[in-house]
Amino acid sequence: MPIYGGHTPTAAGLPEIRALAVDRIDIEAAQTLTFTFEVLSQAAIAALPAALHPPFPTYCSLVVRRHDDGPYGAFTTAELRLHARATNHYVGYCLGAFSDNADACAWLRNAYGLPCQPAETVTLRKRHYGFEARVVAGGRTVLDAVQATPGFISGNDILYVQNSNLAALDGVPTLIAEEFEYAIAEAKRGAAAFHALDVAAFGGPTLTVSTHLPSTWTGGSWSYMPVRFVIDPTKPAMAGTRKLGQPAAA
Amino acid sequence: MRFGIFYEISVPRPWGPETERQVYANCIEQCVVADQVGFDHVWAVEHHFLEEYSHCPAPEIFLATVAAKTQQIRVGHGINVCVPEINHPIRIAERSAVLDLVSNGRLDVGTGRSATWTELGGFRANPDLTKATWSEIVRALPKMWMQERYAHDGVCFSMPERAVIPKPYQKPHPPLWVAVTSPGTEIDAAEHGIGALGLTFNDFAEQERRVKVYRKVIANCEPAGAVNEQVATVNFLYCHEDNKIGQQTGLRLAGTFGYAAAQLVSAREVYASPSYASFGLLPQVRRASAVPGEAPGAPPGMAVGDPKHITEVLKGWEATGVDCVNFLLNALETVPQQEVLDSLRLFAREVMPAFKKDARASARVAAE
Repeated sequence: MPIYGGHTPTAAGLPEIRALAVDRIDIEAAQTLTFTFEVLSQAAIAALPAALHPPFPTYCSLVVRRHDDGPYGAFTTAELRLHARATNHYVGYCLGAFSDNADACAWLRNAYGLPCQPAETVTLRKRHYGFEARVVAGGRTVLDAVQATPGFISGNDILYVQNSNLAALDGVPTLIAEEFEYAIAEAKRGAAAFHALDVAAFGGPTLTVSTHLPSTWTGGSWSYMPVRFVIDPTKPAMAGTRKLGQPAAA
Repeated sequence: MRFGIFYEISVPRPWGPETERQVYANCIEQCVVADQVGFDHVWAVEHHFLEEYSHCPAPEIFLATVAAKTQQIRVGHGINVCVPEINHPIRIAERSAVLDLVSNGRLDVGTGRSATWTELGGFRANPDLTKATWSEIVRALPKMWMQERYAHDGVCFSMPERAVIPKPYQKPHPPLWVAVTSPGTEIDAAEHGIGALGLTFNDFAEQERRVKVYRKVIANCEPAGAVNEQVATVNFLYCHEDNKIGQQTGLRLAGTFGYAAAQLVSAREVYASPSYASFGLLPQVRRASAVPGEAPGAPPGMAVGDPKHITEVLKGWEATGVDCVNFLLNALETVPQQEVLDSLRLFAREVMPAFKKDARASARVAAE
C-alpha cells in the first residue's frame, strides 16, 4: 500500500474550530494565482499527517486568492498547500496561510480550520508584465512572485484540488475538509518568477523547493461550501473519515 | 471478439529483495497459461517512476521473455512513449523490429505520450508538445520499417539518411496502435489509420458512439502505414464459479488498482494544458466515491463474477463494436497467484467459447 505521512499532530497551536461552516458562501468576483513547485520527498512525507498519502513527486502549491467581496468585506489570502491523497482523493493539506483582513482570517480559522495569520500585506495585482503576488508578514517579505508574460488558456485546463486543514475540533486534532466550487471566466498561464519565497514562514520549515512548474491565474466566482466531513489525522482516511452528523468510526 | 491480458506490473510495498522478481515471475507464469488456454494478446505498458502502480519501464524485455516461453499469443508493447526525451524514435523502430523477429512476427506496437507529470517531469519533457511529437513519430515509424533507408527533417527530431535495421518480420510492419485515454484520441487513432487501444472504462453507449466515430473517420484517413482498423477496450477480470466471490474479489482488485492509480501525479493535476484534458489511467473507478472511506461501487460492464455474468457483460461490450477486450488480472498482488491462474482457466473454459474470434485479426495487416 502507499506510504502514509509521518506527522503526529497535537492540538497546541492549531486553529480552534468555533463553528464549522454550515452555509455556502458565494463570492462573485475572485482571482486565484497559483504557483506550483516540487519539493524533496523526505521532509514532505514527514510533514503530512498519518491519514494522508504523499503523491510522487511530492509537490506544493502556493495559492493567492483575491476576493473582491466576502462576509467580512474584500480580502486576499495566501496559502501554502502540500498536496496529498486522502485514500484516492486529491487534497491540498494547508501548512500555513496569511490574510490581509483580520476578520476574514478569523472566520477562515474558526469555520474551516485554515491556519491563517493576519499579515500587513497580502496582495494579488495585475501588472503590465503579468500578475504579481506579495505577502509581508511580521515586517518581512515572505512572498514576492510574478506570473510573467501570461497567455490565455481554457478554464477547462485548470484543476483546483479540495483542501484539508488541520485544526482542533473539540480540542482534538482533526482534518477539516474545506471544499469549494468555482466557475472560471478567464484563465492564463505563464512562467513563475520569485523575488522572495519563504516556505518556512508559510509553515514548511523543513521543505526544500526543487522544480518549478508553470503558474496559473484565473478569474471567476468562488464558493466556500459547508463542511461535509472530517478525518482523524492519526488514522488512514479509509478508517478515520467521518461524515458530519454520523458517529465517529470505532 | 478477441481477448487479451494487460500488464502494468504493479509491485506492492514493502519492497524486499525478492518482491519485484516474484511479481515479474508471476506475470510471466500468467502469460504462459494465457497462451495455453487461448488468449490472443498480452500487452505490457511502458511506465517510469510510478511507485507501486507500475514497475514496467522496459516492456520489450518482459515481452521478449514471454515470447520465448509461449507459442501463439501476440505480444503488445502497450505503449511506447513517443516523447523524444523518453524514447528516441529510431530506438523505438529498432527495438520493435527485434522484438517482432524474436517473437516470429507476433508483435503489436502501441504508441502514446504518457499521462503523468511524474514521468514527463522526470524526463524534463514539455506536456504541451506531446500530442505533436506523438503524431510525428507515429508517421515516421512505418517509413523506418518499410524503406531501405530513411531520412527525417521534422519538428521533434531529425536524422540524415540511414538504414534503420533490422526490419520487422511482419510485412509491411507490425500493427500500430495508440493508447486512448483522453476523449477524442480515438479520432486521432482513426486519422492515422491505427488501432485504438482503449485504456479507460466508458459506459456501453459512450463506447459504441466512439467506435462508430472511429470507423467513420478511419474510412477516410491518411494512414501512417498499413491500416490497422481495430478497437480494443480494457477491463478487469476475475472469474469464479461463485458469482458473489467473483464480484467481491474483482471489486477488491479494481479498488486496489484505482487506489494505486490515484497516488500518481497526473499531468492534468499540476500542468494546466489543453494537451491533457483527462486524467488517464482508469479515472472513473477512483472518482466513483465522493468521500474518503466510502467504497466505490462496481461500474457497469466490469468483467468480474461467475462465467454466466461475465459472458453477459462481454456480450454487452461486443455489441458496442469493439474487436478486443484486454484484461487486468491483478493489482499490487491483491489476488493470490493461484486464484489468478484459476480465473484465467475458468474464463477460457466457460466464457471464451461463447465468442467467435473475428476474422479481422491482426494478421490482416500482414495480408494487406
